Amino acid sequence: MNDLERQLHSIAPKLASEERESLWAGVSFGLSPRRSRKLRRRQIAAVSGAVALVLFSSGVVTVYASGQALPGDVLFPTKLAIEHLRVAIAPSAAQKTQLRVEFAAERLQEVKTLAYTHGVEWNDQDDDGDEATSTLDTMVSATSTIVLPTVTEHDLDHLATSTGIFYRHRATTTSAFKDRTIEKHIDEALRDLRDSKDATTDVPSRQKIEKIERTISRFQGEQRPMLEETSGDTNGTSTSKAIENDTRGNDHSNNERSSSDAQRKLGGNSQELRANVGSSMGRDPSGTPSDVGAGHVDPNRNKEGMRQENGGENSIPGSDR
Amino acid sequence: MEDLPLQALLERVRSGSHDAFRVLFDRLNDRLFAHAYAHTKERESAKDLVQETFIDLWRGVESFSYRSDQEFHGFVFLILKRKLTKYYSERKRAPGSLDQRMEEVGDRDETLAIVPEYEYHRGLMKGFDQLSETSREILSLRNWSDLSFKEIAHVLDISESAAKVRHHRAIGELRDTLIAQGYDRTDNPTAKRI
Repeated sequence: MNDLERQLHSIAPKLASEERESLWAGVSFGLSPRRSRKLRRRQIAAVSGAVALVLFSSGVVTVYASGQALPGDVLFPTKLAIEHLRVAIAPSAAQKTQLRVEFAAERLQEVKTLAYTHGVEWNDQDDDGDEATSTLDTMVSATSTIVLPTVTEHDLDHLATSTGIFYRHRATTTSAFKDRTIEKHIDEALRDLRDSKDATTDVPSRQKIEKIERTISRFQGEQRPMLEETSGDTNGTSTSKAIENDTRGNDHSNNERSSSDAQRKLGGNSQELRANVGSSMGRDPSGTPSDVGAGHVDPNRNKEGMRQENGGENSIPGSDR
Repeated sequence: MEDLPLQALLERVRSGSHDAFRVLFDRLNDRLFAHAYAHTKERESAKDLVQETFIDLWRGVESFSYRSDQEFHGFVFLILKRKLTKYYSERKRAPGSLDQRMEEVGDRDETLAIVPEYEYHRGLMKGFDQLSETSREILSLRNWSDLSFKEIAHVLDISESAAKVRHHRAIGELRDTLIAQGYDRTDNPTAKRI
């Protein structure tokens, strides 16, 4: 730096001390808007958080409420959608299968709940057929009868399809057998049935519950030896395949065996399902089906059957809908 | 806190410390004011511009990533440069026509009241006012605001060597102006150092 530069530097404009303090006061005042904006951002964040919390809570309440929904309820489709979502986001095929088994068991639980709530009517035309299939078919038929005025076609189809899945996974999912998922649900079903039987004083209801209970118990007795065989074979044994073939009602609608009659009903045709339910309600007091094997049933006869049932001594609470 | 390195000081400012920002203000206010005054020739306008610059700096320092002192000074003076551009556009004032500068030279007396009142200094300030805008800008940045040539290059968006060349020419222009005003080395003790 030469002399001229030094001289130039010496005349550099400077602020007087009072000017400097005044300037700082102005700067300090100008800094507050930044703080205010920060505060506003916090307020906005707080409000947004509150709104999100309310929406989230509403969603949680809806999801929780849908968990209690039964076929025919407003929230039942929500419950199904959540189940589909859980299956879709499951990370592995084994977990997806596990979830499907659980949800199929949930369907069974819904059947039991409806049966207990509204009383039970079942189709015993398959007594000489596959007990395992007829058990669930009976319960599904009872359900369709009970909630016929409100249940939708989709609900019935889904219920029947789920029941078919229930059987398929029972026969093919070795891991599900090992952790006793299936048996646990059946045990729960039996326990619930016994509880409901003890809780009701209605003799016909107790008789019907006892029949379901006997059927399930018989089914357990038949299946457990098979399960012990299949549990050691992860690739699926001929036994398990036989069970699968025997229980795949959704895929063998043309099977002529007597047990497949119920399976055909599980195959998704809810109209036929309801028709057969109606036929079961038209049986004589001895319990013999009046139209076993009938391919078509007049819907009016179905209603007539219901009226007879309602008017008789074996009237079922809740079946007068 | 007065002795804190710039980087540490900026960290505190970024976290919202007014005290740290006051230290930064003390380090920079004269340098910014000198450059602003070199352009506006009005103390109040220069102070307004400096105030706005500090307020913008307070907001902008949050997003500033420190790499060097030079880069930060370049950042601060760029804020002031934008303020000056806005100032000129609002006032629709040509940045320093000779007639305007001469009319406003009287304002300098206020500044000169703060610096030693040597006749030579009055002549030096008058000579400075008569320089071109380019020369005044680089002289104020270099000799009033104490920016390095690297920092000046960043503010003016030119190369460092170009900044040195421009400054050298500005000093020569100022020297010629002073000689033309009669300040030679023989009749003024101070002028002898030119």
